[in-house]
Amino acid sequence: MTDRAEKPRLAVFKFTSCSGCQLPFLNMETEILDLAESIEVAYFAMAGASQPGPYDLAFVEGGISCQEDARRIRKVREESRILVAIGNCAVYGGPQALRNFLPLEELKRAVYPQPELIHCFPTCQGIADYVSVDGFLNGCPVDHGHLQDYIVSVMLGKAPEVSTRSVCLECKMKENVCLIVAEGVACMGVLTGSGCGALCPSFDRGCYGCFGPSADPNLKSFANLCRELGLTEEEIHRKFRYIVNNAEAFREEAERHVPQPVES
Amino acid sequence: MVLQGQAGENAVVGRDAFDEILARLQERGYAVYGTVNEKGTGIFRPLGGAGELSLRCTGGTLPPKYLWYPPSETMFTYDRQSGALRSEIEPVKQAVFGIRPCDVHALLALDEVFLGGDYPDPYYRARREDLPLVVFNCVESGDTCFCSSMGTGPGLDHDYDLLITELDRPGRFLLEVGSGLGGELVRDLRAEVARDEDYQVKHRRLEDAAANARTTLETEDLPRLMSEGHGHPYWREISDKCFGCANCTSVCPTCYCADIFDETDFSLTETRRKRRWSWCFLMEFGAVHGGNFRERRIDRLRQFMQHKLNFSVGQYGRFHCVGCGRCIVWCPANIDIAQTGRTIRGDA
Amino acid sequence: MPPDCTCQNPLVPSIVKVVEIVDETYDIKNFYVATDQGIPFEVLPGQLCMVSLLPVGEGMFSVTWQAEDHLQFAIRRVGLLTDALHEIEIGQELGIRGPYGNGFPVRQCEGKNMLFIGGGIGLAPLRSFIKHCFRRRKRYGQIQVLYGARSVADLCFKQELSVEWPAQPETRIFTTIDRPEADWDGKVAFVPAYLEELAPDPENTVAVVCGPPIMITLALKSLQKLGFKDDQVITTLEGRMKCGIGKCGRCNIGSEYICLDGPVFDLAHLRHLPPEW
Repeated sequence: MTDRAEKPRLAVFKFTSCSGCQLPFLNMETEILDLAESIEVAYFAMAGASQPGPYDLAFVEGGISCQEDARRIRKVREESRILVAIGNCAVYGGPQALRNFLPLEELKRAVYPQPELIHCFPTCQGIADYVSVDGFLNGCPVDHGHLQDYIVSVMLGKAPEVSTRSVCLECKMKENVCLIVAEGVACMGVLTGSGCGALCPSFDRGCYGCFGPSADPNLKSFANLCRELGLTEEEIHRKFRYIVNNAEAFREEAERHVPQPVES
Repeated sequence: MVLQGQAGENAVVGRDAFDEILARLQERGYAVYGTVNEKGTGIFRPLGGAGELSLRCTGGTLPPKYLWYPPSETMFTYDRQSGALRSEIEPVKQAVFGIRPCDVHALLALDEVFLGGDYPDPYYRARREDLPLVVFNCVESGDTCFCSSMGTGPGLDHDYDLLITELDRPGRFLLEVGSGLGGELVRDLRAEVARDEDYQVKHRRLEDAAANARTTLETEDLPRLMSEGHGHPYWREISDKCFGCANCTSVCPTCYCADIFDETDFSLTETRRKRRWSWCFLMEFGAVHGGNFRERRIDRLRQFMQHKLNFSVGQYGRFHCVGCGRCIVWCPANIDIAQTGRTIRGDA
Repeated sequence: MPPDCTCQNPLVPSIVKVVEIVDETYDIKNFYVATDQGIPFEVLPGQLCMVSLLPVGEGMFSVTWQAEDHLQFAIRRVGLLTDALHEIEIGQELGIRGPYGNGFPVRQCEGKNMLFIGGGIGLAPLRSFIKHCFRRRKRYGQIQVLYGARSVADLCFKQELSVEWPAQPETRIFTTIDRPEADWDGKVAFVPAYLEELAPDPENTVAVVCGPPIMITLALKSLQKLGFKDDQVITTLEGRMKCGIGKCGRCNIGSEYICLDGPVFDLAHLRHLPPEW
């Protein structure tokens, strides 16, 4: 109803990340043809597009880990009407944010033969720590259905809606047998936002929390549940110091279980 | 003897009768669903043959509800170029082989929601009008079943096409024909005459199942007591444990809350107005402009239980909790709706 | 657009066109909608309709007035759907379903004095009742309207408030804003405080209250202080509505659905509903 005369310009950027959040765009095989009709992919390095800005809708994958990242994200923000953080790294800093909890110099020396060549910030953060962000799509990687809904909403001129229900609902809709109830596995699905289709529980692995905290996570109750299932404080700590370690709720819960830093 | 195939007719049959009944349903064009053994529990599935059928109490995961009320459906399509709205509702032929009394009561509750009042729902009607039910009475009680408390089991004596009760000797079932269609499904089948002893066995088994219920809830005056107990400290106790995960409501056979929204694909040419299951546990459920009237978990948990044990009585004259016990089985926080009812009303 | 599509299917809308759009304030527009034959259906004061702007979505709006040949919806710009609605132009097609809800008790109030208390966009549903009273002026007693908004820019239906309604017989209009402004020499006060100051007589009077939740809460308290009994006070509730026909459960509160049993409730009734409201 609010058809645009020109096609909106889409951009996809990568920062400190694995590139996995760009793949859902490329994996939208049938939809991608329709997408090309209605939207202009102006910048998407992985897909070979590299036109300069401005852009109407920019998706950013990756966290901000170094000076170069910080400079580039500010430029992307200036050039983009709508900026959306996609995936764990852009939203929360990613698995690599685990280094936020360790002294940087020690870490560099442990990993690199010439640590003096490594220049980076002491922490890796999500992009909202550096620029204002218009939308957040969690995931590791982001769900292509969420991307699709977001793009269509912008094209139709309506504000996108993103829901954060728990993974449990996805498990139930697939008729999975609950791992907590039936097998005593401390599955984080009760705390985690939906979007992956309950992928890991469908293969009998407890959820790892990739999509970050759901809308109203009951961390205290989950910690009690873990204890009842026989986990030690150390093991509970590690559950929250994992893929989405830098989401506030998970970060704070990890701190409640092991006051001292983990040995590397 | 050979069955005449008339409503009101009773006989004793073996398991082989199930094969024939199922085959006849399929010949008549029905997609037949029943409980199969899978993943260590009873799961509700399309049936190929009666050999797949499990006699265990369902309680599986999702109840049969999705047959008459699907998790998501398109209500109409809107062509963005022409502006035309199109709604196509085709009748659906499905049958359930082995539905339990509690789930039949849940179906009757949803009939009132969707077909009662001033706005009967044509999408529900298309799936409900032609729905043969072969009901299995429950001769054993599951750990969390409290149908006998809620008046929804373990036996049923209405709303069935065929009613089957397992008797003492395995492989012998009392068959009761409840309708013309039920009769057609069993006409000319070989069977034994149902004797007095057989009826006595049926009644004894049902009474035993009720007496052995390990979960109970006194329902006398329950709605009023639940209203008075709206501020009971127990709500805080259970909501502190509760994850707000909505596992309970997702397996409930009477939950009907929905989300209605518009979906458009990348081509931008067609919009679909869709309805999908939603749950009062979700944060977004109570969100209105400028606030959320059920932001706290305690309010959402309480809404769920109050609706099942109290508000539904005011709205529809029946408890929407049918005592199936699924929510108790699947709650990862060990919250129990029957225990909540007992605590709020002041029983042990 | 074949009419068959919508009869007997309460979830499929019929189509209306926007025939006029009046800017009431910077964020409230009054949309006049009609079919080629005029109004799509009769609406009682206080009833609601589900209005669709495909492909954005559908929302529940109260009808602010049923005129001879069109329906009026006063809609404030507050989110996803209303943002999109505010961008449309005259001639736009909308979907409409309704009328839903119980409406105001216009017959039971005949013979009574009427006290309308509104805040912000809350005047929109009240307006349908107010204009109904003026249409049948002799059937109602004294009419008082107490209306307040945050600022002068937020006052809606200014023409009616300042010119047409005060001209009606035995009618008094009191308008107020929250904070002083340079070009405003009228009253400055919050609605509940102004209400207590005016101290209307509860004798044979019905108070009809509509506005933001906090205003309603305080106004109800003030009315109680002034001696209004619970059955003399009515209000309308807002909820998250999706189907409008009592099937989706979203507007369930206690043993009621706002879309079927409401949105109009009297205070005596409201006291029996769960406290989260």
